[in-house]
Amino acid sequence: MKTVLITGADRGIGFAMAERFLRGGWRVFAGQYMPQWKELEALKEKYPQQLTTVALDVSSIDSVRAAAAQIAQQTDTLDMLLSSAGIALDDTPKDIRKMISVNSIAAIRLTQTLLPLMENGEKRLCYVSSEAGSITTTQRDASGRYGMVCGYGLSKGILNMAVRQMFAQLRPKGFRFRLYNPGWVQSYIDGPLMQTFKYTASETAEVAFQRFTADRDWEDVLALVDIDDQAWSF
Amino acid sequence: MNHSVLFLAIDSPIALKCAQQMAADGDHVYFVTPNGKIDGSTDGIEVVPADVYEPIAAEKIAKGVFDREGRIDILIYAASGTLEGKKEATEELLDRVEYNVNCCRNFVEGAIPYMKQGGLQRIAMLSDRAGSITMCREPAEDPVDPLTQAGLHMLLRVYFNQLRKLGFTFRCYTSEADDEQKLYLTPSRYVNMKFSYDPDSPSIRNEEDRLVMRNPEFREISW
Repeated sequence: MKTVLITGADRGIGFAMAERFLRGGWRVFAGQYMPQWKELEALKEKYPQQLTTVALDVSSIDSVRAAAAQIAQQTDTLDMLLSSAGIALDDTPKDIRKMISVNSIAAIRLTQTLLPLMENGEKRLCYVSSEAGSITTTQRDASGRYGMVCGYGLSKGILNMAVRQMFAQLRPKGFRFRLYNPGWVQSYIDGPLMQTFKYTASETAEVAFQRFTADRDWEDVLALVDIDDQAWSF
Repeated sequence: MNHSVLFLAIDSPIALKCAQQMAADGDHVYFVTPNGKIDGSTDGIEVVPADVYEPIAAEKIAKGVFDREGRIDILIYAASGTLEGKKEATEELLDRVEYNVNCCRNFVEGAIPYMKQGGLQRIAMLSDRAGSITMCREPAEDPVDPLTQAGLHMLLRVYFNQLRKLGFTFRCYTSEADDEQKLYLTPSRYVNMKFSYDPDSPSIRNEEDRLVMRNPEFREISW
């Protein structure tokens, strides 16, 4: 059975990803940050042999290491890292730091820590980004118009560069990358569920599952691709 | 030029050169740097040692320059850095990148209210060759610089989106040449350069309405 670690699996996009990968027959290690959300526990009852919850705060290198150690006790190989955890806070310096820590640097923490476990697997590195991180096209402004703070876009732009750096380093070693723009998803990133947005978490997770698990002819290219298969300029 | 220039430089090798050129051209340059250490001539430049991680510090500096000069024509920020191995690499990376991003953001936010009152209303960023996500081919030896530049590019974009319609103009210059003698376009020349803009022109292209990054050969560099 193929194995995947999905971060931010408590709810929203991460939870939907976990559900989809379980249905697809994968062994899922679900990063759990909010144990008070019971959906993951309910999913565990449905997939007792496939789903393992792992306490994971992606903003903490100690937590990432502990999670990696726990996973290593249960599998020799991790085939995929799916970095989905994300937050959107206010634009105070403290909140911007938190957003950079979770949305940007976490990708590096996770990848570096899990690399040894991934060396003999399918070597798939998947990161959930956003059109907010497209410097070329974003319409967000510093006043936080469009309902999204500017710090979120800053953090996703930095994420895109972080993934680019890792791509340059790891693609020659056979790792395959996916940088995904999930679209405007009904998620909890802003607190309450954003019900007016275009896509459900399940819809974006379905597309992600198809893309992340399949090979493609252009693995030597890193592109930010959205749910509608459109590439976004950085 | 006689512009009033407020300049934030955090570990940026190119920043002082730009400030020196602007001062030599007659601009009044206020060079804000966190540790106050300057490796080079500061003739004609007023060095302001200050840490602008706290928004109020940035605001105070902007007010001081405005009170003294009557306007802030040009705001420039440039930041970089390296990992020093003082703590876990990823955590030090977070510290450096968020410090650079927050300082530059505070710096711009502190100056905007004064820049809105008049003057040239130009905001510029000095980047470097590591800053293009699209053009990156090799991993950087030190990730602080590329991640910082990506964040600061996005910062410039969101301010462009907010302030261009109020008449602000923007410049982003990326240094690439190792040999300064070969620089066709120096950073100060680019920051001061006029672009075509005519609000009454029937033609579509007005260069000021595009945010682009250019190198010393005036080539556009993809973000």
